[in-house]
Amino acid sequence: MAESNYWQRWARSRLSRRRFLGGAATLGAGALAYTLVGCREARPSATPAAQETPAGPPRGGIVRAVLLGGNVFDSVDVHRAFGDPTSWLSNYVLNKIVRYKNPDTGELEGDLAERWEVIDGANYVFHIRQDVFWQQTPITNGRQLTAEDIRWHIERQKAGRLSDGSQASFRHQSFYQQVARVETPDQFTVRITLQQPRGTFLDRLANYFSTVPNRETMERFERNHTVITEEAMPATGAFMLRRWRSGEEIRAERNPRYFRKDFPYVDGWIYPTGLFEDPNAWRIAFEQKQVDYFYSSDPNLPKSIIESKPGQMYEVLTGVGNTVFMHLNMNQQFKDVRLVKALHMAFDRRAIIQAFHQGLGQVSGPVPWLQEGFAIPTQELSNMDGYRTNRDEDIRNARQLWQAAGGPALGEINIKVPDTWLAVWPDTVQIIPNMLNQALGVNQFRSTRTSYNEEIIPNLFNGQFPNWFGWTSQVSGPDPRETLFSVFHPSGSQNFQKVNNPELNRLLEAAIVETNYQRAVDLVRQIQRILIDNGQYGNVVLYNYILRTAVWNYYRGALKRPPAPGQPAQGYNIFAGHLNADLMSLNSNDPTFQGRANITL
Amino acid sequence: MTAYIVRRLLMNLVVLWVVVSVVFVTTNLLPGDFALRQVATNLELQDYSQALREARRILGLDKPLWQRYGEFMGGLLTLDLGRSYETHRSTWAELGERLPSTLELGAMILLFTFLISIPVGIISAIRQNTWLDFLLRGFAIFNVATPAFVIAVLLTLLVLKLDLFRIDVVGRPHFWTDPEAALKLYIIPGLAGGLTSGAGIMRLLRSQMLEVMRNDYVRTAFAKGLREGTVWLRHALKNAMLPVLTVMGFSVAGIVSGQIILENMFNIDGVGRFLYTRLILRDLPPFQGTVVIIAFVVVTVNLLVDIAYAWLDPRIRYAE
Amino acid sequence: MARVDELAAPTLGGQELFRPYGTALRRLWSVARRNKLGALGFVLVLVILLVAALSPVIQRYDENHQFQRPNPEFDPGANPLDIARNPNLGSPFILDRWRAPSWEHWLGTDQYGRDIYARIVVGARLAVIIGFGASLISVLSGTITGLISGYFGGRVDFFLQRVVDGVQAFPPLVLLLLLVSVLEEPNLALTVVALGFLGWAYSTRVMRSVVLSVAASTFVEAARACGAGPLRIMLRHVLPNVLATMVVIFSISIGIYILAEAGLSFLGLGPADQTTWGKMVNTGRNQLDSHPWEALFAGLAITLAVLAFNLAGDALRDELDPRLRGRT
Repeated sequence: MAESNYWQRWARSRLSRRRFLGGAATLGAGALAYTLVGCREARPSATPAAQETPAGPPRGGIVRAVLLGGNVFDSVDVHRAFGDPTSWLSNYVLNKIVRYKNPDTGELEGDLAERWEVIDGANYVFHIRQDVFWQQTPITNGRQLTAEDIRWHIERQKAGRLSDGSQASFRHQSFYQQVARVETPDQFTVRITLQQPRGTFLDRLANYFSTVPNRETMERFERNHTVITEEAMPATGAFMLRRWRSGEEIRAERNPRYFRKDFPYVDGWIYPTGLFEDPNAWRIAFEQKQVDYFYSSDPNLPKSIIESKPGQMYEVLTGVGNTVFMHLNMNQQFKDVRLVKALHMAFDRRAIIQAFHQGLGQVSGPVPWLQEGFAIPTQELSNMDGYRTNRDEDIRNARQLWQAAGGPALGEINIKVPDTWLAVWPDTVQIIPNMLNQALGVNQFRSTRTSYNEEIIPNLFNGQFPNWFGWTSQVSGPDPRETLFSVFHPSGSQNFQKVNNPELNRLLEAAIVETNYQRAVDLVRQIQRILIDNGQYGNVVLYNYILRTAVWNYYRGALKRPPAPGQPAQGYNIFAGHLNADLMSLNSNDPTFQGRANITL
Repeated sequence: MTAYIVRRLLMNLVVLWVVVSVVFVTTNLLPGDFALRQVATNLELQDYSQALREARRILGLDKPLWQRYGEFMGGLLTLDLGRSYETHRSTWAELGERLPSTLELGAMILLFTFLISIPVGIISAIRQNTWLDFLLRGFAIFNVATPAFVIAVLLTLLVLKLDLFRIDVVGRPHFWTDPEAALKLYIIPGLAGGLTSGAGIMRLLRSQMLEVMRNDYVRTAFAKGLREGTVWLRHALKNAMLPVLTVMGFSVAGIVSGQIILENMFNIDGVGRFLYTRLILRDLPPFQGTVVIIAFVVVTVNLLVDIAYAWLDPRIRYAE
Repeated sequence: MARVDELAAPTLGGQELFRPYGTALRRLWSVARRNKLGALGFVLVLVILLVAALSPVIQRYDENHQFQRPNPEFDPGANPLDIARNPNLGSPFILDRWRAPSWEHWLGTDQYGRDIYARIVVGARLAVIIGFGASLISVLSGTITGLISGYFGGRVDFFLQRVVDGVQAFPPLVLLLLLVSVLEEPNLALTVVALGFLGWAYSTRVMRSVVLSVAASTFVEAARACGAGPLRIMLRHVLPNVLATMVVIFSISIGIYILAEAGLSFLGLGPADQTTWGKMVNTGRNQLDSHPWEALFAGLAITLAVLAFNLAGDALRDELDPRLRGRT
């Protein structure tokens, strides 16, 4: 069905939280199921995990798994791709200036930069490693990566121009406007100066979409950047692409020139893109060990498979980065902020988590719980409007506000649901309106089908988007400040609701430049309180759910916490494909490895 | 007869033209286009609409409908079926890649359809109202009444739980490269599809047999002392098959292009799935090109069926 | 036992040939006695029609109501890791999902805690609407064109058959997709019409082939020789004799359309807000090995309905086609 679903899965993902996603929407998986190995690198002093030999984790083999949360690539150029899959893929092939050691906490480590200095919030110096070489291709000639590459990487995105000087659409152009200049005092040093201090700058450099592509190759493929080919992404990272074509399975092999000498553990991987369409095909492949793990939007399915084969598989639980969200158009029907506040309170988040995800999920404030540091702790959140455990109080207040603001006079209200969501949960069009009607004691709500690409996205900028319920874009890092600013500040590029609250503006401006973590957290908490007081100005964040993956014992990805007897493993909630690339491994000595197909590239 | 065939062939061309034109026009009038799905929102307002315009220009979607139609029909005359907006490969290449799997699946389904419907239909008619008839009709009704995908799921679970054999949903085996693996892959969807359509045809065959059995020439054959088997097979079946052939002729379009559900369930890269995904993506050139091919196949098959019809039943005459 | 006059060529007065439909009821009773399976079919059809008609009364609960009970384990501050291990922690209520059949829920509950029996009952009404509606559209339209085409022959036949060819040359999926995409939101009426139209080509072809056989037979020739006009011949001579095939097609079609609706739901194209059996089978099929109730009962409902209509249709055909009565 995921088919699914099927059909519907072709929307694109967006830059920030408020932009829309589809992609992996079939299974509702953002970049998930990155089962990550016990979060240590191969430092010899680390205590070995259960399946590690004294010499280190098992090496060799070809992994075959549904590695990415989507299989539709809109461009070979990570600078210009608006869909997430290209960026996700690049985490296995390319590198960033800095990267997350733990994406959930935001702890950083060097990637292309071996060390760096933060002079103040506006001045950064990066010292680039001297052992990074591009994959040998006719275009790159296997040359070394230098500070010039970094300079080009930033300036190109800032200017928004191709090599012939023509304008093009660059996904992060707006973000890079804040860079005043980039200097390369020597071949391996990059000095970046921002117009103003920005507390989120470093964090952004570690997000999954900040990988650094090869200049000559991007320029060669500029005109045809939508034609997908493995020649267009030469590697500096863990793997080289052997085959990357639209509609075909993707094959990658270990990159012998990767600068992390002990990595990756496996010899290569295959991503069978066709398995996305139907859980039947994927399940067959998984149970027969033709692919190494399996997940589904129905958490019961992997669970029943694990239970049917006791002792052979383990369970990994991961938060889904695509926040579930209700968008109410304040430019049209909901001009009075009391109306959106009423709906913010009327929506029974916990009941919907129960219904669609069998309880596997948790309510999210304006900053979702995945962004652990900045989110309001759930205990505290449960005493705030819209999140109260005592639903009666929320319902009473909601009704009051609804009546006072003239809600009934609005007539029929349509909360649309995108087809990608409906492919997975078709009953949504009955359940959501029923819930709202019952909560508010009215009969106004109904729900019909819509589409991200046809109706929602094109109408965001003109303020005529429909009210809708579904996924928003993926949480890309642990720091929400860029997104909050962009959505709620008058100068923000995604302020579709035309929010302009002076106190909120002051807080947003202070937060975005703040370099001290604790102070930043404090400011963001204050911001969230104002948002909740105002029904999140129609951008009603609801919850994030949890994905359950069934994994064969012989496979390990990068995990926040490995499995223990009777306990599921925990994956990173925020995208950690770069860690997975390094750390995924196959243990051929594990008894479950018997019967696994012999896979070659 | 020859004149008839010639006229039919000419008319087929006209029919093809009409079908293809209707498809072209209607798909181009559907809401949304490929550019919308290709271009994402950008941060700046003007960039989005500009990017959209640019994308439409590159794809040629900004030209008026009649101009695109002209280019499309012109392409058809040179057997150019267009190029995919997404993969940039020609429709012929895309179809060619998917043809083997489609034929394999279709052949399996047809095989099971025949294997099930013909013997069962005949026996059920000959032994009308006996317990055997009831049993077979019951079996047929069960299969007709259950969606093919449910049967496929049940069979899949059976195979997985009992670990009967390995279904290769990833390796894309073919009968000429790895016949054993291919058989194991196609047998469940073939059986599921064959059972459901076979059951329907079986009942039609049965009712046609029963009608035919009432005819004088059948009683004459018996009176002549011919053995039962000969009567049924040589005389009755030939005539009872006619409407059945008609129905088979219909199934061609469905079998070739309509197996989207079974194809998805077993990760078979077939034409059904291709058509569907192209339509959803609004990747129109390969969609339109494929419809042309399928339409051509169907009208040709129908002509063949009608010829066979006339050959089998001398009572049917075609108007001069 | 065969009656001789039925085996002989029917008289031209049309009286013997044209069995008055008014005596159908008397027919039914004698059929029931002779043909037990057919009787069973009719009874089942009646049951289904009754259920469909009385559904608001007999459904017991609202089909969208999600049953739940309070959850003593609820911990509002539970962090997501705890919830992942024990999903019940996160909600003050637990849905009564996937309950086995019991006194409270005769057929159990589905994954949203809704009563399956209520949904099956509501689904019966939709199945009848979809099945009958689409079948009727398909058979009636096909018969009209088949009659015209088969009887008149010549250019009319040729032209009509080319149109049929054209429609038939559309991959059925494509046709359905295009038809359904006409409206932004596929509703029930559109689904019925689209499905019905899908069967038009098939009906026309089959009806035409049967009409050809009948029209070629001697008694029609004779009627024409006596100066009977085409309309009269079609209505009084040809039509009654093709009635049997019409009935068979109609009865088979009902099942096919109910199934086609299941396929549509699978593709996400069916009327999204309706509770159809097809949708239930589709949702339930992924849980067949762990929680089979929804798919099982919805699947059974479909099977029973199709069984009923087929058996009844068979019995009707056996009865209405004079050439088949009295087989020894």
